[in-house]
Amino acid sequence: MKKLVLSLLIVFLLISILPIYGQKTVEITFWHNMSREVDKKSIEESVEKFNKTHPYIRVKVLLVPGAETEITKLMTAVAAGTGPDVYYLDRFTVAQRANEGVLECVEDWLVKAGVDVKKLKAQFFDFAIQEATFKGKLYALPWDTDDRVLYYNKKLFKEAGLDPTKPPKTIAELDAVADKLTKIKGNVIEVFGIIPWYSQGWHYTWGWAFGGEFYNERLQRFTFGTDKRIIDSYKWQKKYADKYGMATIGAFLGMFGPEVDPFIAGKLAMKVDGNWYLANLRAFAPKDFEYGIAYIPSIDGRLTTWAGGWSLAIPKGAKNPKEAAEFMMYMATEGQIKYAIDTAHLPTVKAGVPELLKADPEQKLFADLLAVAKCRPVVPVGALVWDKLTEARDYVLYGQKTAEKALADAQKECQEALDKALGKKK
Amino acid sequence: MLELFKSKEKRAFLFRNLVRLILIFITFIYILPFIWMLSTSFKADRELYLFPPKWFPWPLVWENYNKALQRFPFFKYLRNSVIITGGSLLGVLISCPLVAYGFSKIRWKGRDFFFYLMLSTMMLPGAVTIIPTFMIFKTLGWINTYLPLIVPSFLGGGAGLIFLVRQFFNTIPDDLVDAARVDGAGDLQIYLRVILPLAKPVLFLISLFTFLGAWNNYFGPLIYLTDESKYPLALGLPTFFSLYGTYWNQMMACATMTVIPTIIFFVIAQRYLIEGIKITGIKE
Amino acid sequence: MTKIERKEFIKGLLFISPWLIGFLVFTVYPIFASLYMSFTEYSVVGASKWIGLANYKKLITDFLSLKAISNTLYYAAGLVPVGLIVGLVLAILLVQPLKEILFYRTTIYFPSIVPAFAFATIGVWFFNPYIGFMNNLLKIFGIQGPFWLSEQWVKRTIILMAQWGAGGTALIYMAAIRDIPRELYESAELDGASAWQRFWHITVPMISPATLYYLVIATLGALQIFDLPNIMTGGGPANSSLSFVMYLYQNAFRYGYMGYAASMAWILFVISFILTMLIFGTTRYWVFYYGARR
Repeated sequence: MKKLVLSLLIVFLLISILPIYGQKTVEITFWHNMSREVDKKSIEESVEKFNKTHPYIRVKVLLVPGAETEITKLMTAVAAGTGPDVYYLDRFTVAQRANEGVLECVEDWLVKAGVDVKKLKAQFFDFAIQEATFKGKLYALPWDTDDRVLYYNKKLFKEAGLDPTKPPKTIAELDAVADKLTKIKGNVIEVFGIIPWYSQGWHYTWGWAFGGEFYNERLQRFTFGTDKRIIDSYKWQKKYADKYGMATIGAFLGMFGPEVDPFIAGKLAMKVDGNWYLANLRAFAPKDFEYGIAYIPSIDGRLTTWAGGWSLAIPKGAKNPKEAAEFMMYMATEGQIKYAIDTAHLPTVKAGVPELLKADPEQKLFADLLAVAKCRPVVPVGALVWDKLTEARDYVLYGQKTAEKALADAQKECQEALDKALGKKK
Repeated sequence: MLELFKSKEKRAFLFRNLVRLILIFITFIYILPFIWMLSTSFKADRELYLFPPKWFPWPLVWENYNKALQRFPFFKYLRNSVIITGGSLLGVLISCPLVAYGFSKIRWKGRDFFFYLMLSTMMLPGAVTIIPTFMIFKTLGWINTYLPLIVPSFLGGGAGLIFLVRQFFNTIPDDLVDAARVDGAGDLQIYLRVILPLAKPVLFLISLFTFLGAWNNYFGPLIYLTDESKYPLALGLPTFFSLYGTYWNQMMACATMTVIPTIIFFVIAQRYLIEGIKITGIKE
Repeated sequence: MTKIERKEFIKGLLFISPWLIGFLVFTVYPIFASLYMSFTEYSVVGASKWIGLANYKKLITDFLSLKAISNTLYYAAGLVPVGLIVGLVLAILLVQPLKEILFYRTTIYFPSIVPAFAFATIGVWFFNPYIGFMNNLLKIFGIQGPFWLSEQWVKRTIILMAQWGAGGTALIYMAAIRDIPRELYESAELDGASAWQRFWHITVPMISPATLYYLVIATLGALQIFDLPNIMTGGGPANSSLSFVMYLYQNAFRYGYMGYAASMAWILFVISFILTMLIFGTTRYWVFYYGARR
């Protein structure tokens, strides 16, 4: 009898406890590195709102400062199993980290949570979904994006006798305009028309502006080493290096250092930069500074740009991946729209674009460009490809290798790394 | 003119002022980074990216300091920095000279072996040992505490500092130690009564290096702490960096405030360095 | 071991026990783990795959790693002697009995205190060929200064720039100079020794223990140089300032080739070990411990 009473009591106790356990608050941790004040605030406000509307989930935010080092913290923590539930990851590295086994497959968790993934994907721009996908499945949800344009100084245009309402549209026009804008006194360059590789004038920027292709996805082969248009884009940059001399250009840029911007200082007439640069101009340029924004000139006048941006991912070993997926869903949609309005970052969720333009009409040019924007090849060796292309460009500019040789070497190295990463035998 | 060099006093006078001149020139070069930091910290936003850069902004924008203080809970981070630095300092001062004594004033078999073993621990770059090290701290349950940042200081404080102190102990006459031994003193007593009082300059050096190392340690706290309320100042500074436009003025204002305690520590502690200097290396 | 020897052995171990405990608990495992990693393909997360010597083979065929090694040896060959001279000269100047010496002492140590990023702009400006301090200074002497940050010059420039951090070495030498017994100088002066003779025959041998410390630590530090080129040039132009540890770090975390990075680390270990042993091998010719029984 005693036993029965005791066991009944225990069962009763258990039952009375169960609901509490069932509803126990689940804490998930979210690491990000957006340290700019408005960005940080907007993220925190969204998290707060999510916490309020989802009483059983509590999201704890951690700002991990630093640009390159923060990945060290993630890798170390994930290796030891103390990583966060949600991580803020550079989208173009999603494939690489997924391949390394650092990321959980988000799609699986979304499916488990009963989300219609197809419908969800349709809410975002294609390029962003592409970048977040590895082996046909989502490994991240897209966060914001960015794209690149040509900024030019209208006052310098006028001084050089150019029409400030007619920025160059083709590479040929760009060369002509840059030539007129460049002012040399003795051996010192006073005003530079353009330094093609400065700021966001990356290999991808000009390679695509020349109509080239870097990667054949179907064959899983890089093509930049053999694509004549990309080789041409390198040769074109080399012409600038030859004309002025790398030492002279280096000395010109060396007058400014990382803190001083030659474009804002009125010493550089044109530069390729991202949409975020608009905020810098508004905050840091002299009040009477007149700038124009135009599309990046291309070989045949077609619109060209490329987009990057961030994403949200679930690292391996996350304690609560299901709740993490739920939180990410919220952030990538509702949170992202708020982020676009608050911070003028371009959204990857289509519904965010009209909201952004209401808040900041000057972003229209950037928003329109998203329709033609390309994204970098979605490969598990993205960072390596980036660095090798940069290295090849340096070799060309400094005359250590021809464009053909530099690009062919880089392609060979990248292809070997890719084959290895994909598990292909040589 | 030659008259001037005749008297010894005048020669000394000339020499002193020559040294002074050289020092002023060198000081000018060495103070530039500091001046730049200070000057940037007082600039208005629109003065930041001007060319040529302004060395003396006017009016001074004190608001930058205000904004820097509000960017993150400055005083909380300051407190955390003090805890980490204070702990490390205490640990190093207790343990480092002790270990150095073992490597210097006691003759024992295996001393050189252990000494070279210790030096060799400095030869592997941290990038490849950080993950296994992290695992150990995780096993101990020390993640998100200050223990990984402080405890190593109590364990000698690193091969470099031990080596430095050992070099200075080696110059203290063995006769002093032997005399104390004859008087019946044990090694611990010799260490405390004879060696330490003579070692003030090197104790200053290791305090200063430890202070700086702990105060400016960015990587350790970044890896081991997962709670913003535990961050030290060294982690506050990089929050001013942004991929999307950096307010250098606020960052430099924050840097200036971060640096001040170090300067104070230096000025106060450095008297142990000069204490007793009467005559100098080259010429008086 | 005799009884006394055993007693001394235990005493020695007891004194170094704080370090020994730290070594056994925190250092041994990571060292062996990294050695193991260097024979595997390992990307931080997930299983590692044993691939024998493949990482080491890749190392000697990887153009960039060879370039980074040669750059690093260049840095070491420059940083160690230049830093020694600058540190020693500063120390000698800073122990002179001037009223305002504390001011000089503090300011010369400032660059070691100021966060590294405050340097980048100043450094670039200082070495600008047209408007920079260096070339304007050289112009006074009728010398046309070089393009300091060009690929031919950038390593030398970084070596020069590193001298802003010479305050630490200067302090160590100041402490060493302070420890020299005054009587040595006084009796030398009575014997009519010139200032140079006193410096060469008293100061130099008396501070040789500090010099030994400097040589070892500076060599190890130079072989692992990372911050300065990373901040100033990011390794450019065209990898001419890329250091070995910068490249190692990129491999470990940016590309996820931790195994490869570990093999690089162990090559660096071997180089460091050989150089350190070379330095210690010569000590009996020039390091002098005053007061030590011979």
